[in-house]
Amino acid sequence: MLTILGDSHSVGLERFNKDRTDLSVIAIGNGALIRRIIDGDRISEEFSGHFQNREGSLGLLLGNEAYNTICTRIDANQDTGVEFELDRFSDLASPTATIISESMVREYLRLVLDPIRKLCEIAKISLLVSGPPPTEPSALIVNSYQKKGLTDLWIAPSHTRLACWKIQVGLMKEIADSAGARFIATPPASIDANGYLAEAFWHDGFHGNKDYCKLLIEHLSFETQEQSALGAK
Amino acid sequence: MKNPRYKSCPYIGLPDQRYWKQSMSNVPGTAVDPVVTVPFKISPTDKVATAGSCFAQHIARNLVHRGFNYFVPERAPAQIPQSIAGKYNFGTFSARFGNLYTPRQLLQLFDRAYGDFVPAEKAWQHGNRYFDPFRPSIEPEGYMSLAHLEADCRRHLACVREMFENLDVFVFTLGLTECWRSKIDGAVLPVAPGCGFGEADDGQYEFYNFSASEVIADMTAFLTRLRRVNPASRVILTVSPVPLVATFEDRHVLVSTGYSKAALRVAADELERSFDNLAYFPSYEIITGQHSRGGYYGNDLREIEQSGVEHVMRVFFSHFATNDGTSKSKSYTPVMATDIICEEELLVRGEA
Repeated sequence: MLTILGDSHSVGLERFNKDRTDLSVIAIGNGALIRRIIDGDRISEEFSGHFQNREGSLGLLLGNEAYNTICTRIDANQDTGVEFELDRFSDLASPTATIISESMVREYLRLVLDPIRKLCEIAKISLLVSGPPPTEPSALIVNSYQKKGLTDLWIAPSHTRLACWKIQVGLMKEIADSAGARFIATPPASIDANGYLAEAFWHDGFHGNKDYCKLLIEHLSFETQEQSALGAK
Repeated sequence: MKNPRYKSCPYIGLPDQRYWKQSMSNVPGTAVDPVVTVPFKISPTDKVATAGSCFAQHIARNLVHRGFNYFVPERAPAQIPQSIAGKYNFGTFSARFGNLYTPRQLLQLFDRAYGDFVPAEKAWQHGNRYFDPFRPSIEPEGYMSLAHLEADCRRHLACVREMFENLDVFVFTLGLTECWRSKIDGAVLPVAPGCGFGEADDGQYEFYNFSASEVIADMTAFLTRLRRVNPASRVILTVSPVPLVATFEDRHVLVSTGYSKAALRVAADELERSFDNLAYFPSYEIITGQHSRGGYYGNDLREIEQSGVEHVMRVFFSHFATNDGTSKSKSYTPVMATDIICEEELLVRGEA
């Protein structure tokens, strides 16, 4: 039995996993809620039920949107015209962008992922599952923010978001390695030739759609070599 | 008047602060306040920008901690906490120009920002990384290419212009008179080439020690240009009490420190007398004055102890803050000496 606990990326997974017997998905909430799981050096009382008396192995699925939003101006009070680019690209999309170093981004993402590192250490997590890569067009992200009432925003270029995602994936691999957990990467079939989430799997700019969830379930099944046990009823 | 021979003495009846005994000998050291009047106040809404030597970083951080409107046009992404952004020099000063030790650096920064000075010196390369000669510590790992360095510099200088044109109060800490500069065009560098960044080259760089009159001329030129783009700007000058880490003059470092601070102090006085809306704030006197008995210096006789910084800041805010409680509502957060970024220390780091 494999139980996947996850952030908002696991909501769809939970919905489309109804007819499987050996895979259980529990969508705990968004990334902020995930961070509340840890209380000092233990699982907080609020979430302890998810971790106690559970049979089989436990996995974590975390999209963690920091990679998508680190270079995004969503604060209406922030000065206008502030743009950011990672310093790793030879072609600078904006001549006016402030260039931020990859090492600063790495340091930030390491800080953001620290609760996950702690959780892996405390809760005997055996699988750490990556969320999907970013979508290439920023329009979907813009739409998502606008639905939340944020209109004065600037979205980082797609190559910056993809680079941040790759840094995050690398850090998640490090976390998994140090915790003795296995890192499960995004299903290769969901990634287009440029490394972005393929159009067939777009949902809202952050999350994968129904087909992505189904693909991920199959991917998990295959990667954990429990395909037969996880098969549909 | 007991002694009739003093009947016409002009010193009789002056305010207490004019007398050493009343304002120094008879006052607890920590209560000495050498500020009498200030020409203006700083309100919580005033945009306050800072620049200068290492000591200016104390002022910058205290402005933040005390709830002032610390003006930082060049920001890191909002999501990145200051504990990380600060390592990359976002927020250390109002823009990422690093320490400006000499007035000539400040003047040249202004001129570079407005395209009136384009230094020949472009970049210092170490391995496959590129460093900005005018702010070599800004990106700890350097830039991946000259194009990136130049692109970031363009953005940086745009932020510098934004700072000068929109600030309400500019606090500048005069730090040094000694510098290294390019022989080609006189571009002043914040660090001696070869001391951690760049390569020493007698044909390309030279040591220079500014005179007091040159400091006055440079600051006068800067202030004139600042007022041209921002006529309402108010300026506070301070002199850093931090001694020179090393001197390139063939004399004792204590003697060079004495000269450097004296020249800067003379310049600040001249400027205060010449410009409206310009105040001299005596952080130098608060730290070095006899009342502290040297106690505001750390074990190395150079770093400023927290108690000294607190004294300076207490006096600064008690005089410049408007009486709305803003500055007093927030407690002082200590800034450790190790948190202060100081390229000057690169001069002796090779000795370690």
